[in-house]
Amino acid sequence: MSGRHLTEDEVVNRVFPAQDGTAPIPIHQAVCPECQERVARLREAFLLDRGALTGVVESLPPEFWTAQRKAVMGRVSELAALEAEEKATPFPTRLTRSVLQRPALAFGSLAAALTLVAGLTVLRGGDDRPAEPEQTVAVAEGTAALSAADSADDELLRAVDVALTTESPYETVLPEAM
Amino acid sequence: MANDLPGEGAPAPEPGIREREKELLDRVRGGETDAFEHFVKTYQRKVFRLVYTLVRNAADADALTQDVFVKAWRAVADFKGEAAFETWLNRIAVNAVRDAARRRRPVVSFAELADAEGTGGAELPPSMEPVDATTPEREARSRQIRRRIREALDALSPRQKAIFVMKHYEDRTVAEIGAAIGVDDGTVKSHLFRAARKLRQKLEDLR
Ligand SMILES: [Zn+2]
Repeated sequence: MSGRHLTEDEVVNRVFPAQDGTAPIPIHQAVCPECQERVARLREAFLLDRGALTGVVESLPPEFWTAQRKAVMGRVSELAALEAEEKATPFPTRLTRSVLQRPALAFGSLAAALTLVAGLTVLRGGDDRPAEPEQTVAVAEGTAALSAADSADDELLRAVDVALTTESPYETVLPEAM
Repeated sequence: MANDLPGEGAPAPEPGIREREKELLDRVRGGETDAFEHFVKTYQRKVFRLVYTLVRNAADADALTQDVFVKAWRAVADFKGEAAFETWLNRIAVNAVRDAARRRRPVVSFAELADAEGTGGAELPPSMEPVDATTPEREARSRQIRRRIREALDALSPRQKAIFVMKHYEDRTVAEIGAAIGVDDGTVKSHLFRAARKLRQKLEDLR
């Protein structure tokens, strides 16, 4: 056996590296069944969770996405119309805010998502696939270089956030009794 | 106009596509909602997935995903377009989740919503909890592990949780995460290390 057992932090870093890419396997781990087991257990627990979440998202029916998109576009169109109106008349700013604070159309997406139960049933059948590491990375250009530009956008977002802090996405939709 | 937009589930933009996104963004800035729909189509799954992983409730994730795009629409007129649109959307999403957590609004369960719709929601799982049910023992263990992971992630600060999820559930690079969260690479790495350690501690007694 080569060297000591991995420390707990080393085990964690094997499964959840804090840097990009994978670090080379320590010689000790390569030959020590006990340390291999410790790493495998943690990895398995994580993949179980990640795989289950992926399963939920993948089992959402196309109708869910369509309904969600329609709900968004409904709100956006309403906003666009109100913004156009506001340009023409100076004062009904409050109307715009009222559109922002009500994702009432979430109901639409959820109705479509009811079929999701069927998807979940498939999952319950024991397909405990670990998540395929789906390559969602989109930024081909140096992202770090973008952070300066981002800060301007950040300012803007902060302003939007401030405008929204007092608003609940839920309360305007649901009757009090629920 | 709508028919020249990429279809649903279009892949993430590569450099050429990013040029095309710039054109579309100009149209969005001009108030064209059809052009904006392209972005909703392209990114709604990714945004939902990120938000869902953070909040673990489909109804909340749906509402928040919608909010993300509505906020993006409002802000896009001034979006510089020098950062990737997706990075920017991620930032809106993380902020939206953080703010929702701060407000701590009571969550309306899936079943309640279905009841309100008159669709027999009582039979729906109150929280959408997928499990591995090959054997009762495995199912119980799966549930236990996933509950622990969820608790461990919930115990992190919103920022730390977002960083951890983006790295390990979404396979983002450290630089992308830094750009989306607004911190430097070193800070991302240090959050990642601490979050992972806390997670392991939570799972320790499961052996
Ligand atoms: Zn060992």
